[in-house]
Amino acid sequence: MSLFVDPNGTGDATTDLFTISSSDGNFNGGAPVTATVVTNIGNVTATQLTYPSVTTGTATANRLFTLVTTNSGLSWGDPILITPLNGGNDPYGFGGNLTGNGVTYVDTSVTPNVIHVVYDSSQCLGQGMFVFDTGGNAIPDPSPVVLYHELSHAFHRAIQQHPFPQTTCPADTSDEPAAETDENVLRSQLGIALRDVCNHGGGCGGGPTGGNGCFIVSATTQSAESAEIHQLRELRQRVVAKSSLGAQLIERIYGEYYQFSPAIASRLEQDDLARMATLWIVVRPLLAWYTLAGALALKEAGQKTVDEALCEVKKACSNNFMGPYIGSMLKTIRSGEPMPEDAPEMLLDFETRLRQAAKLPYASWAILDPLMRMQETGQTDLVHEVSQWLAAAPLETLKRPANVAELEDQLEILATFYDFAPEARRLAGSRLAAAWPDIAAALQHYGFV
Amino acid sequence: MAKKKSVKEKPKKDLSKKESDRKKSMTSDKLAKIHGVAISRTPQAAEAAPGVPGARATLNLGVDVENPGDKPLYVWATAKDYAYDPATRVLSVDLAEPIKQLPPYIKMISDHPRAPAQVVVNPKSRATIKVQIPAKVNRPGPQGGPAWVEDPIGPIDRVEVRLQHATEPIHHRAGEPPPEFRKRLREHGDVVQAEITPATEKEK
Repeated sequence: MSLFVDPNGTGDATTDLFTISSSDGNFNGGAPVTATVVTNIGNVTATQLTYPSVTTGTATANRLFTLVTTNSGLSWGDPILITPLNGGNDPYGFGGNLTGNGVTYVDTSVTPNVIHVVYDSSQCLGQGMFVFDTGGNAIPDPSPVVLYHELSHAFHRAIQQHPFPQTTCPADTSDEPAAETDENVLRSQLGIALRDVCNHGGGCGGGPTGGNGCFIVSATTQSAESAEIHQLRELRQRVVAKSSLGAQLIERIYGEYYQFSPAIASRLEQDDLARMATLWIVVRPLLAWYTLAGALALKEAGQKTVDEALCEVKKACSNNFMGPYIGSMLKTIRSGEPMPEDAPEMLLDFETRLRQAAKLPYASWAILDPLMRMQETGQTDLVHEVSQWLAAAPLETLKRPANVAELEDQLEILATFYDFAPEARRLAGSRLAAAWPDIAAALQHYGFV
Repeated sequence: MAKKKSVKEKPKKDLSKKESDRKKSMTSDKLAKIHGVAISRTPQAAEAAPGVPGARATLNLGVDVENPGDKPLYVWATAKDYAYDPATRVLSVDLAEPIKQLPPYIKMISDHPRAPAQVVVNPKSRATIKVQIPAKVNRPGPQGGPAWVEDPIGPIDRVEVRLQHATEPIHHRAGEPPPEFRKRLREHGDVVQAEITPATEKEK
């Protein structure tokens, strides 16, 4: 027995587990974790995860491999069942309201015993989550870290060393310091702030000292409550309010964004020039782009708003004399080619993280793609570029609503996002039809094919 | 049409002995008073089909609280637990540390007691405590065991609120073992409870 995912889970563990594997394509064959349902755990028909070998070599990937693979030197009989929640209460009734939290426990009433890992993968319904560093500062608590922390408890139980011995917090005989020491391994890999392993506090939101998960925007604007942050948050809320598939897409973008952005943000906080350059070259053009896309797709505003958004994109780009050069550098990074030796020092500093981002499908689409499009087109036909960008959204990789009626409702909403550019809807539709051939009729009905 | 609200004191039968003892130590004019609860649903609650992954339909509760005492009260503003009974249309919300015990066959191997968000209510004044919960309840399936289902929170006729508060805030102390913090949470201040008809439109 080893690691399973509960297909009833209302959240999504795919991005979190892939982050723990350091984006190892070998993990679960690169497929979403609920792609196949193969076995029974107690009364649940669950998905057993696979991990034939680790190719990334990171410590967290190795731990995940150990949890998945029972012939890796460990032999325990209790399956570990991961239940990701989109907020809400523990469905089994033992953990209370788990919005913004996670819990691990063993059900000994069944044979074999089931080790339950139940956690909120929604970042507290989109509000963000925080814990504390050794300075008492609130620091972000991304979903992959929450899951890895819980899996640490499960691992300690599976190897029958629970609580796991530790000497850092001598008065604390719980398993928490050891789990937090483990989670700091993942935090180090992600380049984000380390947790105080003797402080188990935390909660929803940015915490008493701020922080909201928008690392780079917060760093460049030097505030967790800047106008840019509010603009981004408001747009995100509008998409989430309209479409559950849109909400899921945003959740996955954020899941990947956590993998590379904290390290960039912490570097920006030390360098005023790099901070200002990133604000003008990256943050403001991107915000203008998202605002334009929102105005076109969400149709909650008139032509005047669209025109204003177009002006904002053009203004952001014309203020950005480095834009074309940065665009060509991003193209180089995305293609995997080496950077020229005379590339700006700032770009070379961020090269590793940018290459990491370029390999992540959601972050690459959401961040790198618009930056390149804005520079390549010379802003001559921005509406067309936005439509092509929306057409390329990796919708076909999202978790579908199980119920056909619910799926059709979502397709109907999604179709309206492309009303301003029907050819873009058909482009997106051709990939959806290939991924979801059983709903070809519905796709046709809503104009996707 | 707004529905007239009514408030009644909840029988104290399910208060723990410690809670009862704590209540005895204070006169009632120093305890917070719950005057009402307003409920609204986020727009997506109406749009999103129940159970759609990624949908974030939420219920927004506004709990009208009075501090009749002469010291500021730190009132809990985090839902530690909640439940909904579709038969009675009663929503139960714990803005207090839960007191239920785990069954003997469940062995908890993580321990993350969390300090609640706390709102200061000044002496001789009232405040609205805003709390958001998902508009759904996860519950064990009809066969029990690990299978479970997700139910939307339907029409609400009554709201049961347990509300914890104290004259001092509570936070986790660095180095404090989780069981000790949980004990402090349970013993912190006082808990009042009320069953209220919410001030909201009658739901269909």
